Amino acid sequence: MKKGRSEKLFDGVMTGVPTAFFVLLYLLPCVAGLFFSMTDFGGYSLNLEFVGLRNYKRLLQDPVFFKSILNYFKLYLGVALICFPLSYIAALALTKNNRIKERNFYRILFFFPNTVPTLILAIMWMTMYNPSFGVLNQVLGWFGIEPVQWLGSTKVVMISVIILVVWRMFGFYLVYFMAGVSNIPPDIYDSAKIDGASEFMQTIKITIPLTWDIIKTCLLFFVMTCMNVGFGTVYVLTQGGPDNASQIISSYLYLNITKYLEYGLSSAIGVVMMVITLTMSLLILKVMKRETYEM
Amino acid sequence: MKKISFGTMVIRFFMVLWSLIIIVPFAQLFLTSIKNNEEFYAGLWTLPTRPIQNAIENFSSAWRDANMGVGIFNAVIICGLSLILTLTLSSMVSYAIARRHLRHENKLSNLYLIGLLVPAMVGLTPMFIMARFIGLFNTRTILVLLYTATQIPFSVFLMTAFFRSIPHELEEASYIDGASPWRTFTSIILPLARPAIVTAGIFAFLDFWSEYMYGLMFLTDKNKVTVAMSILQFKTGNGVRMNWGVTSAACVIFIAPILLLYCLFQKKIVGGLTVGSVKG
Repeated sequence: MKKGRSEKLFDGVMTGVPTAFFVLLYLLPCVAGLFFSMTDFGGYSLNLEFVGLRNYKRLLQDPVFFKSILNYFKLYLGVALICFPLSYIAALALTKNNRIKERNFYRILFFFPNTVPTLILAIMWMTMYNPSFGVLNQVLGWFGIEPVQWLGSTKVVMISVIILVVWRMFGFYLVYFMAGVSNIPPDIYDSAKIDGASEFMQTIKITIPLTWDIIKTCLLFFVMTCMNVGFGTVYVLTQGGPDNASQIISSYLYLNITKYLEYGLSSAIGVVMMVITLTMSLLILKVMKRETYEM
Repeated sequence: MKKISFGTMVIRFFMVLWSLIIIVPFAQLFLTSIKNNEEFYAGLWTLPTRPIQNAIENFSSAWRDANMGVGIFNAVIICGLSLILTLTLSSMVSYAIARRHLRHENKLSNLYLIGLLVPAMVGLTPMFIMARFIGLFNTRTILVLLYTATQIPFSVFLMTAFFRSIPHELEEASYIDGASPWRTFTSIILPLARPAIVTAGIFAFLDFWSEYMYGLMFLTDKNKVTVAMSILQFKTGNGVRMNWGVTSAACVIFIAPILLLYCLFQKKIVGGLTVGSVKG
């Protein structure tokens, strides 16, 4: 079907206006970050000096920067390895078992923390983590375990951040996985049952391959959310401390702007951040690539 | 049969356990908001002796100290305008990508996908310079523009999937009746897409309402700050010697609209998230 002039105008306006807005205010600044990472912009004077790769060299000599990258991966892997399997198992348990009639209640309740601002979650968990009267140490006390310095110890603080993020994201991925699992037509299982496949084998051979795309989407999605959620959590809960032990890339970037007024350096961090997220997305797409099964 | 019901019990046990783990921090927040500071330090689960009086004191001083009236007013204006702009622009481009058989359909949808993957923080410095250059620094307008721009990718992601699921026959019938594409879009497509627009709108609202990163950078005027920034001041301003009762009260005021929204629209929020991502 050939499009007439008014049709073309329609398409042009419908795509042009939003895209111009989006490109000008979002993508262009992101690309411009590349340029500013090579300047010494300090926040006030626009008399920029081009400093080449100096900011990147400074980053290479900055131990906190490496720590913040490491912490980003810790957070990503912590959530991918703890939260994803837990959510997946819970999703299987809730959709496969017909006796649990209140499954929707759990789904709605577990998702709730995702609607609450990270700012509030972090303030709530500050009391949970309090070493002398926090709930966590009280519970540990019942089992005779010594109180833990959740936010005060450089060794434990990243674990505390990961616990909070897992606690929050569990319900989010549960919703996705439940939708995926319940979308598989039941007759596929029926024939497997006739062939004598166990529940476990059915999960391995049917459920996981058929929900592969959703697992992939969730992993991809978390590449992006990890930066934002990590920032929100760290900024309020620990402010990167103690001794920068919980600094992650996004919070370190923001710290360089707001505290040290190092706009150039923070742009360089931003560029590294962009490289990391894009590489990880491509890597996930590549590793997770599989024949998709049509249902 | 006995084996299965044992399994059910195990599942129930863990589900109830996790429910408790989810509820406890929230319960504690609400409880703290009706305690005074001594009662708070006496132990988390000690019940307040005069809850109503404490509540009145905490909530009124939270409202006063954080200047929450101004904060909420600003947040409502900024969220409202950003919401209108986000939903208008996103629904336009999502419809075009999903339904108009564009020549560059794939390139265009990849462009928005890039937006979903590149963290907005990368562009923070250029955004800052741009804001000063066009004279929008320290205005609420720049926040509206930036909130919209950063929210568009996710809204497009949610809406495109939904537009694809609308049956083609409805559009065809509309064209046969001689309606222009504009008319088809506004009077056939948009009303049908209401569930997707509501879901995208709720997610956008949740993001806008709690946003403070841009706010702290772009606003210096105390009368323009949003409520999220006012809450943050409790945390950083008072340091270790926080008044937990007042802080918790402020948090409760802050999340009250979210709680209300979630109670009203839980099905739309939870269900709308997965509309397009699950093939079926």
